[in-house]
Amino acid sequence: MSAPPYSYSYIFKYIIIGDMGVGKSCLLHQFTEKKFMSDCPHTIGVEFGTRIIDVCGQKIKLQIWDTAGQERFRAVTRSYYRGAAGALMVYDTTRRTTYNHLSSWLTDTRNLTNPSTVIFLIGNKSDLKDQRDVAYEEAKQFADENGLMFVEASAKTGDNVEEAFVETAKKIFQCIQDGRLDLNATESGVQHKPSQPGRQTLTDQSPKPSCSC
Amino acid sequence: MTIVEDNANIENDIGQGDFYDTEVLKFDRAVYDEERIKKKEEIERCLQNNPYDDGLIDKLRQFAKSAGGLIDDEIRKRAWPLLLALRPEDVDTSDDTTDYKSHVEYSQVVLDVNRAIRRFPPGIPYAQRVAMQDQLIRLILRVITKYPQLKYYQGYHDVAITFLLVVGENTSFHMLEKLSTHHLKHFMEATLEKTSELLEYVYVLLDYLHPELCAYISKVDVGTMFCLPWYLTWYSHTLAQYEHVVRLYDYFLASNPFIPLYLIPAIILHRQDRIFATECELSALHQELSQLPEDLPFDQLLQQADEFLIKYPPENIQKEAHIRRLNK
Repeated sequence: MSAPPYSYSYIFKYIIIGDMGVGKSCLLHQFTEKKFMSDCPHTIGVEFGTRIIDVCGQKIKLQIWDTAGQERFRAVTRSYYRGAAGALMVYDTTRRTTYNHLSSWLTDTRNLTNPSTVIFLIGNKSDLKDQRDVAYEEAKQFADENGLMFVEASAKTGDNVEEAFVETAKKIFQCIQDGRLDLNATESGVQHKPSQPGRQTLTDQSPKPSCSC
Repeated sequence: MTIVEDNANIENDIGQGDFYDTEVLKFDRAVYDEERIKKKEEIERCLQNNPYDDGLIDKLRQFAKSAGGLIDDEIRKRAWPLLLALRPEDVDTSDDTTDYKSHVEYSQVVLDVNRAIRRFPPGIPYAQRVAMQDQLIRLILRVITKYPQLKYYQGYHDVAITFLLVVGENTSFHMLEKLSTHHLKHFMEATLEKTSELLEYVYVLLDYLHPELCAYISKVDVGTMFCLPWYLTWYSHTLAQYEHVVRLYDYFLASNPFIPLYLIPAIILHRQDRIFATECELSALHQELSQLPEDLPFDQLLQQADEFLIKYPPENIQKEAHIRRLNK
């Protein structure tokens, strides 16, 4: 019997963070719906999105928590960092202040997640070329210095959006295979669900060590 | 759908219209059945009374709370200010010409208002929408400039725009001034601490009303994030249909300020079958709980909220909510 289309072997928990108005919800919407929401309203508290992707032949369900950017919501969204396997940290390439705040977002992320959490830096709004306020090279250097993955993307055109979400998942999957991410650890942000969609308990079954990607 | 019918009058309406003189923005031409027509006539008769007659506000409160609320925006425009004991002559009708660009929250408010396009009537002419966005920015900054202790929060503009659409800029300012210093004051504190504590009431109430449902939701510690936007914006951020938003505002303006909070457990209880059918897992429950279907029986749920308020008054559950919060 073939598995139903919604079955998946792993759940990865992601968070999306960054200043308000950088396009966090739009990136999520572009990734889950493949559409650009031009009049995307602000997020109050947290919102949630999900999509199943294929990484190295494994179906992985991404559970993505999209957080509010306004400073006053940070105290209440911090509890959602816990147990994230991936953190997408977003700034707006056309507003330098959003880039300048990255170290504060990074500190929060490092303090509240695991050492194995994959942090991916996204410079959004790359389509607005003539309004650029942060050079690619500068952000790339920041990413390299802090050991972050990095792309410039556009939630509007969809450019590099898929890549950011999927590359993060690949890196997490690699960590599982390398044994750097312990599936049995609580708050690893990863759940293994061998062909049993909807199950909520963690299993102690190890993943198949075969990835060619 | 009709916006302001006579576009030629837009310029005259923008900026100065308040209380009895602006065209009312309509999102949908309301379908009038006999009962609604009858109720509207009754309210209109009532509104002809002296605004200083104490009985008038009581009667308006009853109309606002009974089925269908205040029927349409023509009535709301006149009744809403009175529900907050605001009379026509209390409204300063002079144009606000202050330059707010140097206000510390200016750019945040502009960004939020620019993203609030969804809240304007569909099909609104571009020029009119831009003019109203300017009004909205000015309106918000006017309140937080006059009351520097009140901090702007994302979602406050969802509340402000609801008033702007119904009663115009100047009346909105006076209504918001009253609400921001009373009903919304905890939302406007420096942190969300007090708001989070108030949201714990939801669990205390649920535990009284349906312990099994409360236990189910509490098991995975789903928290109160799912209803934070409901409470902070009086549901206007989440509800897609304008008619539902203004109907809720009718009730809230006529009620104890705790009603928007007590409505949350009423909604959860009403949706209990869906919630029990959802896997007891954090993300699944968060997603299900954060749904606010447009076909909810709002009249009935609002009345339940009032019943809960009588049966479990805030002063009785405050302590329990505080303890719950400390235990987290």
